[in-house]
Amino acid sequence: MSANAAPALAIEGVAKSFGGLKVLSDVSVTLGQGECLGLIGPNGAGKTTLFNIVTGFLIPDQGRVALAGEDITRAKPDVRVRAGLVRTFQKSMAFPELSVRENLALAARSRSGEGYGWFGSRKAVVAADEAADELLTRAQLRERAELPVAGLSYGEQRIVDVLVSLAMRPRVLLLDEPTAGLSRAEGEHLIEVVRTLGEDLSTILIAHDLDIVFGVCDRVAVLDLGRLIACDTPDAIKAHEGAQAAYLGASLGEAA
Amino acid sequence: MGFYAVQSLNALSFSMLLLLTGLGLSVVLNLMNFVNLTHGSFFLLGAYVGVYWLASGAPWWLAFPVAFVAAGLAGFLLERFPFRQFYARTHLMQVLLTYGLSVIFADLMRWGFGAQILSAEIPEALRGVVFIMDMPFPIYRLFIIGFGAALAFALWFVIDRTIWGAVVRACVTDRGFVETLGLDTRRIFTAVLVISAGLGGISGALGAGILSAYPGLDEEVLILALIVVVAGGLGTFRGTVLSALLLGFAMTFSKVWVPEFSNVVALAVMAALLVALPEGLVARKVRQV
Amino acid sequence: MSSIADGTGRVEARPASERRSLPMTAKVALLALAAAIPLLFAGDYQLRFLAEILIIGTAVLSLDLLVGFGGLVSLGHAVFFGGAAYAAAIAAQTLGADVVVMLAVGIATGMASALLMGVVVMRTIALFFLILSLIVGQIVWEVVFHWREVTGGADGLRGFPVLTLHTGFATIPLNNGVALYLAALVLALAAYLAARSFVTAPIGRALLGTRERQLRMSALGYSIPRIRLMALLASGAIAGAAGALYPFVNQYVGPNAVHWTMSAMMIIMLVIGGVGSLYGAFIGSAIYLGIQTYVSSYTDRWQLVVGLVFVLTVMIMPKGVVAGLKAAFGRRKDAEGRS
Ligand SMILES: Nc1ncnc2c1ncn2[C@@H]1O[C@H](COP(=O)(O)OP(=O)(O)OP(=O)(O)O)[C@@H](O)[C@H]1O
Ligand SMILES: [Mg+2]
Repeated sequence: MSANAAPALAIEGVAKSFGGLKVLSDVSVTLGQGECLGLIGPNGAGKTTLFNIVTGFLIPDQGRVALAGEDITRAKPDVRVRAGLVRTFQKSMAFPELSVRENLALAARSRSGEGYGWFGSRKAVVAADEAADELLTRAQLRERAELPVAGLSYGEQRIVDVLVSLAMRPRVLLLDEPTAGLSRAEGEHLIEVVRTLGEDLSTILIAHDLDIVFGVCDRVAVLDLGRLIACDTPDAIKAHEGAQAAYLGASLGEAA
Repeated sequence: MGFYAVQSLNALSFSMLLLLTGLGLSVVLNLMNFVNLTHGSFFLLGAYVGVYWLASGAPWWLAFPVAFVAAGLAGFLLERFPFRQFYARTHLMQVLLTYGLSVIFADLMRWGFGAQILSAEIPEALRGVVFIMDMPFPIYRLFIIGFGAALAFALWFVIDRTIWGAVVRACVTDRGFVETLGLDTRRIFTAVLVISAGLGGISGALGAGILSAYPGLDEEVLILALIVVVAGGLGTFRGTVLSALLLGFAMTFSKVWVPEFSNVVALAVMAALLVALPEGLVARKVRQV
Repeated sequence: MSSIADGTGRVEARPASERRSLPMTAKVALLALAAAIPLLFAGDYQLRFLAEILIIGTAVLSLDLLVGFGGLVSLGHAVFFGGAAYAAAIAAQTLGADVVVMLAVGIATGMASALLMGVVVMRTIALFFLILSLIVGQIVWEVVFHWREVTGGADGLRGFPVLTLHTGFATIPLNNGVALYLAALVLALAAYLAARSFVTAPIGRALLGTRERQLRMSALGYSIPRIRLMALLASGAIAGAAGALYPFVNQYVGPNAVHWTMSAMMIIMLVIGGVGSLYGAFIGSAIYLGIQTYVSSYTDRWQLVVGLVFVLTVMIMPKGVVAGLKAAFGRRKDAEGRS
């Protein structure tokens, strides 16, 4: 198989336990180039754990992870990021005391490989600031550039979080409940920002808001108690009985 | 054979001192999330109290409760001010505050007790040696082992097996919640600190019999106790016991085998431990991502 | 668990000139004037004392990089400084005491010890880092203390060749108060500028990021060990440069220069002067050594005084005396303005 034909991300037979607690068993999913895959499941299903394994914060007990055909199962997190695999965290993880611009610039410099510069790095600093400002302009947050992140509204903080990831110019972006705690309008705006700013992006989106997931994702995977019980188009998932049961009555059909 | 048995007992008695001192530190760290570097001062205070008491002719066994009370009283006052203001602060701020206080106490004690080495007069009943496989071993050290083990066991029992330990730990997790149960959390914290300081005092009085009392002993003991607690995994009971044993045995046997490099070897053992296990022997599992 | 190093040293990496009213040139002129005053009024002894303040202040400055920006509170920092001091003292006996050579030896030693320290402490944080750096430091101290043939053991080393500066025209001996003071001044200034450029450069920002949120930094593609190692190397280089001049001020270097209490003293100085402010290193070193030298001539209780000053700083001015006094004055001015 040539590298081009390989899926953007392939997860094969991944399993993980914490002590006696089996959190993931035999999970296999692939993410096509340019695809948006929704990942849903009740609390504690193992969604975040799957992200942690894909991004290298945890090592799986079994199975492998491949990025564009390359095995990265045991690579360090920073290596994966430099290969274009970027994530956000369930809890906002921007640096609260640094300015919005500085937050984005940290990412931009990491991406350009100038994150460790010391003497004579003035140019890199300016370039990263410009890249940050450009993203902020396109997300209509330019006038917030100087503010510390802690001074923004919660909705804006979550957008900054996503912008920081986009400043890494990822090829694969994993979003862990980016819309949690946002109003519907804010949530939709955030997704809009990702869609317009992320070019050629393959995305996995975890969200509990099924409207959003079914609205924007090409396919949806359902995780329950660490098992992948379905992975199909939104319409098929809405009709899927196991998926319905996992959400305990919250009828998936109604959500859309 | 007898030689090694005696050396092992030596190591055990030293480990017991390390354990008792470490436990004092460990208890406040574990239960109150407070780093108290004045613990070495409590130890030295206890040591001086022990030396003077044993020389005074009063009943010898009272020396230990008296050292407990003296150091506990110091702990009680310090808890009122300024420790209380620092419970919610970062470990760094706690380290700075309590280290600064220990510098002050070190100088005050040098002022009060003088700069010379005061050795303790071991009471009649504990003087002399017993023979273990034909090798002499000081009775006083056996006393340290027995007394220390009893004390450590009592402490473990209270913390791990009674409602009191559970209440204190609940205080750290959610103070407000414990207060809604009608318990006065301030008093609970005061009690823990007094017990911890008292433990430091008792360890000092016990230790004075082999280490004597002198300016600088506070820092030496503090450093060893800190190493024990941190290498054990920050205030887990089991970890503190294991690492006290490890350090005690490493220090004793490196003195036997490589006397010139004994400290280097013992320190290297502890360093290797922390390099291999960066969160100590018994790491508390916390979910990070 | 609360981390050992947040809560202090929130640092503005912006140059001070952007924040305050005085233009840069005026400040430089003022500073130069202030630096020149001792040359007019101070005697040889005081100038040597000032040189010591500046040299130790430089070492404290290098510690500020780790503590104030990386949240790495090291109790083994004296190894970088004292190790370089020994290396320079030993090298001087065979190579002669050319100041450039001494600085090179010191910087190399400082960086080598930082590399050693870095490899060992790499994976630890917070209290674990504190204790592991302490242990490494004490191992070095044991070696220095017992290796009599090379280090002089407990007695240390004394009597070095005269420190000299070779220019194109002449060889200038740096053996009097004036010359030592000027050399220390140049060292301190260069170190300050280097440290300032470090914290404003990408690497400095990244270091700050690791202090705040390690996970986030790895998620941004940064290698935490690499950032830490670079910070340690920069810090080691600066501490090493300071250490290289240290033996020549008092013509002596002893094992206390690598002992953990030296590291603790540097932390005390740093906190008194202000963690994360860079300039505070010199203020703290001046206050500490001032108390040590001048109070001890009145009473034996100078450590009590140092301890009290330190504890009071921690309790009421956790950002250091300069920031604390500034805030107090600001408040009073505010109050006056309002009434
Ligand atoms: N590091 C860890 N140590 C122990 N248990 C863990 C760890 N990480 C996750 N778990 C457990 O694994 C299970 C799955 O957690 P995970 O965070 O992956 O769920 P999730 O699907 O993301 O849930 P949510 O929707 O609440 O975010 C939970 O029971 C959690 O407590
Ligand atoms: Mg989750």
